[in-house]
Amino acid sequence: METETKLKLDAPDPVAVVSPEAAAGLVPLDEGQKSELEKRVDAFIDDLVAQDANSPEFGKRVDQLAALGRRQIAEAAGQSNRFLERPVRAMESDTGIGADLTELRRTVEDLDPSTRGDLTTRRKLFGIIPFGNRARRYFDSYGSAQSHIATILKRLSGGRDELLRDNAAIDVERRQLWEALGKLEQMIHVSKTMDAKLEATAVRLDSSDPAKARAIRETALFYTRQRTTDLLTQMAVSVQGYLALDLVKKNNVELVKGVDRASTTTVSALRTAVTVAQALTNQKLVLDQITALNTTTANVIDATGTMLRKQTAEIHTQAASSTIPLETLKQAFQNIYATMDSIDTFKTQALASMKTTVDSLSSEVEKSRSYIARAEGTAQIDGKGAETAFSPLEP
Amino acid sequence: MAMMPETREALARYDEWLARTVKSPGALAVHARRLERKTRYVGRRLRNMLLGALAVVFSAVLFGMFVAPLGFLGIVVTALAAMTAMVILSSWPRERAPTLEALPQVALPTLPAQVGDWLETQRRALPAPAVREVDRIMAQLDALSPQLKKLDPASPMAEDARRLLGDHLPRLVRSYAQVPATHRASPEASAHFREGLKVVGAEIDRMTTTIARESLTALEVEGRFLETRYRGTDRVED
Repeated sequence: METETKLKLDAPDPVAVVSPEAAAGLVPLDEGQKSELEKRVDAFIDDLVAQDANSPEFGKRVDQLAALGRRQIAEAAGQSNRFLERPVRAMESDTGIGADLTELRRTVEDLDPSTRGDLTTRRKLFGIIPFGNRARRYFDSYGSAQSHIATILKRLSGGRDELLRDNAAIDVERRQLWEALGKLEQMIHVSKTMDAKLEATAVRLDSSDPAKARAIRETALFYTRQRTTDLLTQMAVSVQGYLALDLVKKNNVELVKGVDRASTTTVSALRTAVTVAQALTNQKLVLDQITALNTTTANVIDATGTMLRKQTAEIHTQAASSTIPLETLKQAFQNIYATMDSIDTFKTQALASMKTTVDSLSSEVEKSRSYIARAEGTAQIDGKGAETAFSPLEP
Repeated sequence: MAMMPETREALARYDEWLARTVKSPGALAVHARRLERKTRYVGRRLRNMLLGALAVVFSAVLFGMFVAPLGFLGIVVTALAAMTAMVILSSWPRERAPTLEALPQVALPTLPAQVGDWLETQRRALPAPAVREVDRIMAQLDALSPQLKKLDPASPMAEDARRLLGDHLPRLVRSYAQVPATHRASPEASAHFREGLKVVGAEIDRMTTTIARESLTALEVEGRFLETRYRGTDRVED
């Protein structure tokens, strides 16, 4: 008989590589922001055209274009170091919970009634002389195992807290990253608008002032296009990191579910044992530590608590009514194994998709770093690293 | 709009007068800091003198107990030696002002204090309006200093801070101080200097904000954790 709904943990799919061409437009800008940014671009171009093409003032404005979005890229790149850390750390922290689960499984296996032979017969010394009660001895082993199980369950609950804390950190990081993405998007909009408008201006100037038209094409337009590429590359990496953070979060949520279910099924098996012991040997099995632990967990995890209460009620009626109470107990142990098996399957799948994500993300981050290095290099050569005329709009 | 040279000069003179008479909050903070430094210096000297005298007395007692009785002459010699030790320790070892070359090697937590001390020694060479700017930077350094202590020395942020405070800022001040005195107060030199100091000031501000933001983030994470742990906002039924 099935006392549990089957636990299904879904490993999220790995994050695909985001191409720079597809990166723009992922974070929507509203019309007000767009027109404000375009106004600034227009003012900048008017100012640029007003300067003499050979004057230092013209050069200064071109430098500002070369530095377009530098701070935003650096900020987003600083965060990208952290996206890589997260999935890697998540893969490591899995092992802590994994070890606890393995230990729990080993301890529980020792208590499994199906490995103890026929518990309903009496033990006989040399196969002849009646000696003790098998069932009584079996239920005695619960008493000695309970403190060990309680310790493991406490550790699991600590690990679960770590996962939740990790998810809280991911939430905050994602919010900050979203802001950084918005700023990058604004800069991309600026550089694309700048590109189109500079091109148009150069065409307009071709007849009236060919020297200036050439200067605009060779310097201003050249740098603007370079910055567009840099910004798009960083945007792609950051978007990918944003998705990877979500992947880690989903994994954690699934793992928390798994840990919850493993604890619940274990506690429920122990409670079943208490009932069955009463029915089978008429002895009162006292599992204080587990009961105490269970009350605190049930208070904290309300959903689990409800589930546990419902199940226990069912088990009680089953155990009391069933002609074979031991079957119920065996079933309770099967539930634990099923839960742990599904966690194991989940972890293998999750690890594979996490690895794929980390691999593709680290190669993209590497690529973007070389871009940043180039941009930084230009800034160093230029000397002070020109102050850019463009900064994202404050929300 | 072009300004008449006379007007510019008058404005500069007014600025100078203002700086001399009105104490800015930065200047007040620096003044307080200088006072505190002096107190600490005097305290350290007094402690050294006391320890020196005690050491002499203690060794005299040991000598009297294990080698030979001190006698009257011994006591006189001890008293003289204690006094000599106190006199010597009142001025030795001499406090050395940090040098520009040594600044980049200074450990990050003490860097703001050292840079502050170094700026202090350079301060006299600077004209009044520039002194005000330097005072403002020194006040900012005081604010940054406790935060730098918490920073991981290997982080890129720490590296940036070290470069800015230990290298870029002193270099700016030195190149300004190297301008011949006759030209130092010229509007051109002051403008360059002030522009540079403004950039450094903005950068220090940015650093302070960034470091503060990190602890703010940590706080936000804790809040979010408590929310999911005890309120279960991630759960569907809410």
